[in-house]
Amino acid sequence: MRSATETIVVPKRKVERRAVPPRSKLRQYLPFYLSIAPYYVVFLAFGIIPIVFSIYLAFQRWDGIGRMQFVGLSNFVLALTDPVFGKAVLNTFLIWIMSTIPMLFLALILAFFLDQRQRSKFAYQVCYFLPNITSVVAITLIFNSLFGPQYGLINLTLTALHLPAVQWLTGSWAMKWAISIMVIWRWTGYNALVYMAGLQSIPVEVYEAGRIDGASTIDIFFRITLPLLRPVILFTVISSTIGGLSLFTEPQVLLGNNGGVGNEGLTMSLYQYWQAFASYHFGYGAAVSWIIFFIILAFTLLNWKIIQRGQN
Amino acid sequence: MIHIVPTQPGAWHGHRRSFLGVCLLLPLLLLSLASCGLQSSNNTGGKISLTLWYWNNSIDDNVIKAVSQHFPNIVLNAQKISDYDTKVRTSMAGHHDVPDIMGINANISTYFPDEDQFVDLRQLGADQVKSQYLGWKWNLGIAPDGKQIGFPMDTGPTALFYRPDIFAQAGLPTDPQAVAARIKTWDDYLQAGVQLKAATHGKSYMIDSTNTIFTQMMAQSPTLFFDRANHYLGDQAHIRQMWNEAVKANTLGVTAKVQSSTQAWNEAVSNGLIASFAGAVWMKQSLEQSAPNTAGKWRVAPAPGGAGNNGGSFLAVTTACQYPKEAFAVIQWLQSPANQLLGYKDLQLFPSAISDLNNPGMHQPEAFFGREDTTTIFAQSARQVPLSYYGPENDIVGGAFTDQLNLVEFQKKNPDQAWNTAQQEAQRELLR
Repeated sequence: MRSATETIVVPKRKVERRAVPPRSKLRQYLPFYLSIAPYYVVFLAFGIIPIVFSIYLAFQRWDGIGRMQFVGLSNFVLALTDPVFGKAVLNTFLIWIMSTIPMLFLALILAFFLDQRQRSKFAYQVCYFLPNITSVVAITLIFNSLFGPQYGLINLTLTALHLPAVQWLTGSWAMKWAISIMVIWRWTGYNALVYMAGLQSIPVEVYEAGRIDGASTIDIFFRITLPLLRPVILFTVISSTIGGLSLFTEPQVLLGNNGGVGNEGLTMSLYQYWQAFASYHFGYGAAVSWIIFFIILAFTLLNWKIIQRGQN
Repeated sequence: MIHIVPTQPGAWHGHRRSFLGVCLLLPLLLLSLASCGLQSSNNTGGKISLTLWYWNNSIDDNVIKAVSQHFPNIVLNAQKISDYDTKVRTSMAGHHDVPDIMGINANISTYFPDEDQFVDLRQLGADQVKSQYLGWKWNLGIAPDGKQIGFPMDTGPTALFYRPDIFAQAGLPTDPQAVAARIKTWDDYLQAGVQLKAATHGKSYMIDSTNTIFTQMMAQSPTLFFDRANHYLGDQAHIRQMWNEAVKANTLGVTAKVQSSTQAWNEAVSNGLIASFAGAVWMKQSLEQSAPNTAGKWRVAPAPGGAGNNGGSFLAVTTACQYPKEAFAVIQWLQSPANQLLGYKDLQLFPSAISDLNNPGMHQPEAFFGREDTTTIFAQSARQVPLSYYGPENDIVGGAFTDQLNLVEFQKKNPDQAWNTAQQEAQRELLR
């Protein structure tokens, strides 16, 4: 009886397999799917599942060990009405503006001059990239001693020049500048390299035509280089936006989990970390992450709109 | 019938085999990712295996090594863990890899809401050795409902660190006992600070920052931000009094405006900007490391305001432990008066065992402190620390107050406004 049923079932399955081509296609591509599977499995375990869990967590009160307690929208209400979180959002945007504008400006000038150099270009490129691949924590520790109030190298130089010393780590604006200076130091070289790549794609003929028409270096920079570099500049603005809005390590190592005196160096991501992982308000921290998500989403959409307009 | 097979039988078969292989491999990969430290069985060769989590310099490694000699039937798997509390919470939330024995730092009260994760040490006979340890320290390991989750390790009795050479310039006494007689209260201390500032023309200040006053007064206080019923006390007179004293230090201008544990602090203790500060016994090491050039110039006297404690840790047995009796025996031995004495000699962990405080091994002239025997002062403080209770949210709420005091000191915020903001912040923290 058993063998009889088998003989009936087996051909049926085979016929089905042949009749539906997508299934055999799946089988054909199976090895490829499997070979990329590890990434997706890991992403599922450490990306998707935590993200979905954080949605659930945002509506709970949880210290990380005990029972969760459902609190509805309370976490979101508390976060949105917290002046310290408001300050963190404001700080993030201030530090982003204070670092991005000087950084991109410097990078563009560096790239422009480096592009005109004939010799030892590569050595410069390597030097530009070095700050970017150095450990942020190590950089911050060094900057921490540079920013020292009495014997920091920066203040020693300032006082030697008879200028007033700056309270880099306790003054409200000085703290923001201190963080911005570190970001500028770290990312100017990287952006300069991106601009250089952009500059090299501008045809030489355009420059030559400009020179024949009697344009000065400044004219060439503002009338030829800048307009033709526009897409590259947009790219650096967008990547700086992403980096700037998720700024975390520099303020954390330099000023501590609460962003220093008066939370003046507190950024959005640092606030999230402080609340969730230093104060063990995991539900609240999850709600904060989702608010940050929507802030960044809004900004990304804005960026996208600007690019759309640029293309038209 | 069986002849109806796919056109490429070999290939089909091969796919199936690789598919099976990957199916088997993936979970393996995930398993190895998820549990790098998968525990081996608890019973190895007839011996009982216990896992201990601790952090660097919290337990003397020589003592840990000696466990296997003292307990031949126990294998102690001691693991040094960094980023400690996060890992503890992660393992407890996942009910996986929870150690049998774990160290808990001075933040033991943050574990009180999760006391069900720990074994009540009273049931393992802890009360039998209770009298050997400092009463206030023993008390700090007890949750509000009376369950004892922590066994005493080291303590952090507080005292006044000061520079007699700078005190002499200001006409203040230099001998520790004379300093203690002259500076009894925090008000005395601030007044001496005014004198010192005037005499040194602002080159030296009595105190590093207002926050030191606030936290050190806290360290001496029997009541803190919460009572055992978890009522918030942060808006009451005793907190306001400490706040006022800290604000007064700022108004009188006797602080150097230097935050502790910063590079600036290291500079300030090296160059004499800070003439004194109150701190726990473990500040001895910080001071020796930050200002080696000032060796011999410091002394220790009883702190203004009385005895206090800042810091110190505990050992706990978790409910994940299958052999709580054996685990407790190990804890008791690790923290026996004799082994705490070794911990003091090797790592300067100040004992909580009462008999150690008089032990000659603890009392030596210390070159850094001008051959003063500082243990006499710290032991005296350790014996007199008041019984106190730290609520689970004590440190988080305290942060709201120290943040605002920083603003008063560094950004000239109005103290009354700052007090109100601290109250609002504390209330917000409690809702999260």
